[in-house]
Amino acid sequence: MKKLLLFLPMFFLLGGCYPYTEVENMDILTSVYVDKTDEDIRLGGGVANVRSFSDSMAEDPVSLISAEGETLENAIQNLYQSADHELFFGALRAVVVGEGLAKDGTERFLRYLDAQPRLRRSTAVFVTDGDLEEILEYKAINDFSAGFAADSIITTLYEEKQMRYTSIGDVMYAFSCGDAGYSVPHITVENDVMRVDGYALFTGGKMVGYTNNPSLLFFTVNGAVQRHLLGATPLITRLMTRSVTPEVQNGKLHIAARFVFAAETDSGAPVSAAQCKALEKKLQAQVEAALAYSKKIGCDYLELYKSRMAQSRADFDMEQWNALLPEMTYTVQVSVRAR
Amino acid sequence: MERKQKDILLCIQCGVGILGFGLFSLPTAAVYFGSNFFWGYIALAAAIALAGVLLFCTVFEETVYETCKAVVPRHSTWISILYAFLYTAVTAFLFSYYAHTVQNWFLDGVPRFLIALFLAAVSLYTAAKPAQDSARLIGFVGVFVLLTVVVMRFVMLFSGDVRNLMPMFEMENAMQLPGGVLFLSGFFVLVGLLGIFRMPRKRKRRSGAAAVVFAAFLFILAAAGCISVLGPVQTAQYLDSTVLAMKNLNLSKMDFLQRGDLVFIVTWSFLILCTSTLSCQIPYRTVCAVFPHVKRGWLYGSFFLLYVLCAAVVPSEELALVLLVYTSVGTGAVILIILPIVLLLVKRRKKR
Amino acid sequence: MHPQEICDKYVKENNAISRVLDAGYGKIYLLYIKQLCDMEAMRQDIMRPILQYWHYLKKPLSVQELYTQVLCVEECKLLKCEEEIEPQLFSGIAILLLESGEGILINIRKNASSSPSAPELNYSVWGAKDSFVENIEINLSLLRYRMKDPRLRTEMILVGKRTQTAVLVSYLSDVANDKYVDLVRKRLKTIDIDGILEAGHLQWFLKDKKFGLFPQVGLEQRVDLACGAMLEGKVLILCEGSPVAIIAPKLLAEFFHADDDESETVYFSVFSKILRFLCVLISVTITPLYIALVAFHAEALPTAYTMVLASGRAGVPVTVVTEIILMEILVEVLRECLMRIPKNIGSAIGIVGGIVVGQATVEAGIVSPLVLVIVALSLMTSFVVPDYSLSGTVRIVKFAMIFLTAFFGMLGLTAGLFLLFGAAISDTSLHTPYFAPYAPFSLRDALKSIFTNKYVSVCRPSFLHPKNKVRQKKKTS
Repeated sequence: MKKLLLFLPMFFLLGGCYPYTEVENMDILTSVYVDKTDEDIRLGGGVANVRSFSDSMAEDPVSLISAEGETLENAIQNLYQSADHELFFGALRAVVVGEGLAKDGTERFLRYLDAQPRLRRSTAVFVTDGDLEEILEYKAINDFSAGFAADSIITTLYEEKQMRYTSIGDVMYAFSCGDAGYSVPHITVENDVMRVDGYALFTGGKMVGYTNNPSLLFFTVNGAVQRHLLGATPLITRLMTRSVTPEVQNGKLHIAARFVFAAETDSGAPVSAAQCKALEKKLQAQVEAALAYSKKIGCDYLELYKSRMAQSRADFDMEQWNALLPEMTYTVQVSVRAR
Repeated sequence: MERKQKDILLCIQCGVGILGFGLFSLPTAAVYFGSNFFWGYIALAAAIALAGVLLFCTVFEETVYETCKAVVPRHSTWISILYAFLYTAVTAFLFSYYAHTVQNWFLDGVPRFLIALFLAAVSLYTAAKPAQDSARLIGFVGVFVLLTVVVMRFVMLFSGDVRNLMPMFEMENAMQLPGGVLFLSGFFVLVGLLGIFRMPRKRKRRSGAAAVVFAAFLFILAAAGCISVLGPVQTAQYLDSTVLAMKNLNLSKMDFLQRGDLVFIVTWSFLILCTSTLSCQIPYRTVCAVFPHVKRGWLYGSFFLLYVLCAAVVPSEELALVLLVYTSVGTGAVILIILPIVLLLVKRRKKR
Repeated sequence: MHPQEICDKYVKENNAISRVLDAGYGKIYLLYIKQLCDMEAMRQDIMRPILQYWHYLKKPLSVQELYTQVLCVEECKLLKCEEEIEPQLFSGIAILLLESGEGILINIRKNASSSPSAPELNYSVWGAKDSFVENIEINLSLLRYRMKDPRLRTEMILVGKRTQTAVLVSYLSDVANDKYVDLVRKRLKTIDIDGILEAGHLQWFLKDKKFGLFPQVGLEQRVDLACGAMLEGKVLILCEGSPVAIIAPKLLAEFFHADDDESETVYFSVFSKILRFLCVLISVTITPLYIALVAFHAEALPTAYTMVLASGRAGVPVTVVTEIILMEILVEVLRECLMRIPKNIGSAIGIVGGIVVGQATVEAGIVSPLVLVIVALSLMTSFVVPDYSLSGTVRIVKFAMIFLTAFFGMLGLTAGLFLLFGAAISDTSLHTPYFAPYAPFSLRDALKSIFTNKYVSVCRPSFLHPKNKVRQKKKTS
């Protein structure tokens, strides 16, 4: 009886009707893009051409599919209709948002993606003002990255601590903390070369600004690395310690930021005290510029709110954080040591 | 030849139980009530459960049925049936909740009732093995599961932002203390009991206490991992915060385990099976003790049907979770506080 | 009954030989089965001395005189009753009967000429090359040759109503737990069957669970390993006519233990043991894992891997489950036919089956190349276990896993493993937990079973409950 009942469930689906769709019978999306043109929403994606891996590498590894619609819902529906198979979001590596939609608001689209059960929340998000399809079709040299070259590039840069990686999870995190700001890498293809040229800055799901100030990294990435050219020697600085302390008194926000860097040269030659001083000055100006820009556009893309939340979550919930930003004051202290 | 249960087995069972019971949503619950003071809530809940376990240990001789037989012989049958019924309800809703979650996240093609059926069949089959054997099985599988869970939770903790755990305590978080602690202790009580219900009296106290403390540690670690990755707000917002946290991971150096999904799915499946086995055992064995002459096959079959019916009836994941929570907290209170106190009072009175 | 009638009866019914010696001093009847007795011994050690005594003494011989003075054989005893004749006659004993009705049983059994040869199973690089043979006497001498201990007990039990097969239970009386010996003895004595022909048949009666998934007793061809098992406190059962000894109890962990481990360095032997365990795990799980990844959890792999999986499967007309089952059955058929046919044809079949069919199925597009690799890996890894008897279990379990995974993905595979561990843990061998020393867990034994040479470790394994726990005294310096 016991064994019979154990095997009972297995007979329910005997006869070959297994409850699944195999991976090759789905359209494997490696990247998706979305943009707004005039009044229409344009939605598309790169579908991995799986036959090309076994037959020959010469064939185009990605086929593009696209659809348009008056609203996001229509566009999504049209995309499903234009696809040959069920769309598979599990292998998605890059979400590219056109500036047109970014300025209009990306929250709904990203939330739609996030609701896909198979999607990874670690999928990278990008913003571009260029041709979206060109970015999806771009193939990095000597890289197995059909349709997700942007992700490969940003991952490499992120691992070297030279760029920030923003995933859907990061964006959702920012959404969950009120309308806190976040930054998304801005990507372009110029002269057939893809590069990340800066960051699009968002508040409440809408793009409010653009920056290529690299000191954004000092606030958001531990051990951030920057390259400088002072005189004839190329110098590398590495963020050693960071302390960002927001204080709110009488409805005024004050940020006290302190950074300690270690400087070294590529060649191993010693870094002089004068060079350190020059670097200090340069970095101080950079950081102050970043804070000033944050204050100007009222977007907390430097993620100062995280420090505030770590201090006191209850107070943070009470405060109108975004309203505090335009009035904020700050003191920055940067020191550079030779390594 | 050797047939005795060791303390460590009990600790493993309790650890597996607490992680399994709140597999997808316990961090959500802990953070929902306690925010960044979640660890304090868990610790307090564990303390209450500990007191309950100790009380339980002083009163109960062997199984509930035997104790009732000794103290209130006339009412022993219906008390035991009620006890078994409560646990059956908890287990059935547990199956339902698991089936919903597994279907939502991993097996979207498989019908929900089929998953519930499968889980019920496997765990009831294992639970119907001799008590020692199923304890050993859960102990053996549990060691690997707990090791993996601990490692993965530490990975989560450090791949996320540890700042999310700060500040450790704020006065505002202590507002919901009574409700939250009562809620969480329901889970503890339930799993604290899973292992000790047949232990010899002498060793119950020490082992029970150790097990509850161990389970609390694991629970705190699990919640901390989730919060580190998702942040406190998201953790409290989403029902299955554990799955969500896993989907955020990107271990780029781990080659084909880069996403960690495989490890998580295997560990979770083991946890699900272990927990449902543990939970099936209690009603099954109690009913076996009450009706020693009924054929085991019939008992097995009727339990099986009961589980699947209850599991299939619940239409949504939220409802399954709510039902699970209410039945488990209710059962916990009855078993750990009300029943032992009543029996203790009756016993005292009889002595006089 | 008169001796002549007895002789006539067996001559008529059973093709026995009856020889009557008569020199005028009373008749002596000799009854024997020619095929079972040594004729040289019959002539030289029985007939010749009797005739010579008659010639010189010229008087009838009493049974006592025959027993003490005349017969020149090592083993004979007086006949107590007529009922003794039948079983003894058919086991190769010659019966000497006098007209008075008294008689003598004379052992002149012919020894089968088979001599120990290299074992086919349990082959090892460094280990001994002699193995058990079909003759139980030779087997006993092989045991005695290795084990000079007087406490080596051997008990003979006859099993099978018709075959009357001699079964030898052998153990070290001061080491083996009495419970094991009693249990074996009891199980052998309660066998009520017409015939037992080999050890393989006998093991059915020694099992705790008749329909258990795992082999519950060990089969051993090599004498040195059999003696090693006795030194650990186990019981050895030898069956007449079978070149294989049964060792009981045998636990799961011991199937992963190869004799050569003791000859290698510790590091290499630990590595080999872990490798074997991993191989069994791979063998059971790799094909179901492939199904789970292709059909249910493609998102669990990084994008590049997903695309490789998909590209392998692209163009294959059948579903992944059918594809896997098809290949697995093909491989099983190949294995089964290679096992039965003569060796010189085997290599040809191997080439046709393995290379031609495998290559052709891939080129025809019925299966993907990756499946071929996975199925081959699964076959190879199932034979890594030194003891062949476990690989059957591994292969059958794999099919169950494939079905479970086809319905429930990774959950099904995990549930399958859960049930498998459950089966292993709840099994017993002679009432000893099958999964010892891991469940029930004993740290010392668990570590010892991985890291030490079991033949030179200080203590015997505690889960076997030996009477004498210590193998060697610790050095006191």
